[in-house]
Amino acid sequence: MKKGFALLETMIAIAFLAGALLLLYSTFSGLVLNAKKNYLYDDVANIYKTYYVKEYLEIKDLIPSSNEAIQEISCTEIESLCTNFKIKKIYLTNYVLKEEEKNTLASSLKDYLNNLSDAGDYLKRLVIEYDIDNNSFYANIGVE
Amino acid sequence: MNKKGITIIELLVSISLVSIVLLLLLRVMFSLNNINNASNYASSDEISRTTIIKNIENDFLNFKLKDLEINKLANKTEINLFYENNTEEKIIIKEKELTYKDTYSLETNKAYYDLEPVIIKQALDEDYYLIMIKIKVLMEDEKDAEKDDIVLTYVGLKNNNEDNTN
Repeated sequence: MKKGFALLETMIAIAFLAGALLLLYSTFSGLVLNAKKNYLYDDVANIYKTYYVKEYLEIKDLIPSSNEAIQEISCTEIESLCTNFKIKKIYLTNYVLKEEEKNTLASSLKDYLNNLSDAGDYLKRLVIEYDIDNNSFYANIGVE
Repeated sequence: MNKKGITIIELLVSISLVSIVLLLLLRVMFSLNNINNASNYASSDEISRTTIIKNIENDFLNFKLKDLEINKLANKTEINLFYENNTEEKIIIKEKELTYKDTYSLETNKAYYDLEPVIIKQALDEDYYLIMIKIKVLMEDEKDAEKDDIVLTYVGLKNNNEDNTN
């Protein structure tokens, strides 16, 4: 007399379903990540704001000249720009950053920096974090 | 004993496994649908938004924006832009379209332009001034996203005899 479900059949069915779900989840995660990148990174309005901030910092000689890989620039001297542009943080980084140099950064900034291309003739990069709709938007521009 | 058919336990286990998978799939489909709805704006109007901002900002940089004034009319708002080479251009805002040299229409059904743009004109210091224009894109029955707004900025050098701020 055969009753019920064999344990082996159940385990095989569950293993198959788990594999299918994992595949679906990984595809879905990739989609969501790409959508997030398009939304938060390098919005055109923020790129122009970043350009003006760079120009203003250069004119006022507020761009630090030290050799650190990543430095934060304070909003103290450009408070009006920071307020109107909704700037949260300003960073001056090497144009090409090594992995270990990014380790101490916040995860959202690190994700953004990992997303950037190293192509370009600039020595430094100005990266600005904007606080819009309670989200962190990023834009960057090369600094010679 | 009849060996045909399936036991009730087999049936229950199968149904519960299938329902778990279907619930998860349904959740994924709803999320994808939300992303699709959001991206409907992004795909059809984001290109227009990017083009508008790029064209106007390039003119700001090439011709140096000096000042602006707003005219609010019945069904539209006009922003007159004055450049340092004594030329003048106009941004005309209607609910479903914006004109700056070319006309750009909003394709997303629920979206419309706010006819009351936010203008900021202020001195950054004794030499430089800031002009910002924010044209909000509002969505019916949905929360407005600032990221979809048309935000134009310009930092200019004051002329010696002029004050470009209020």
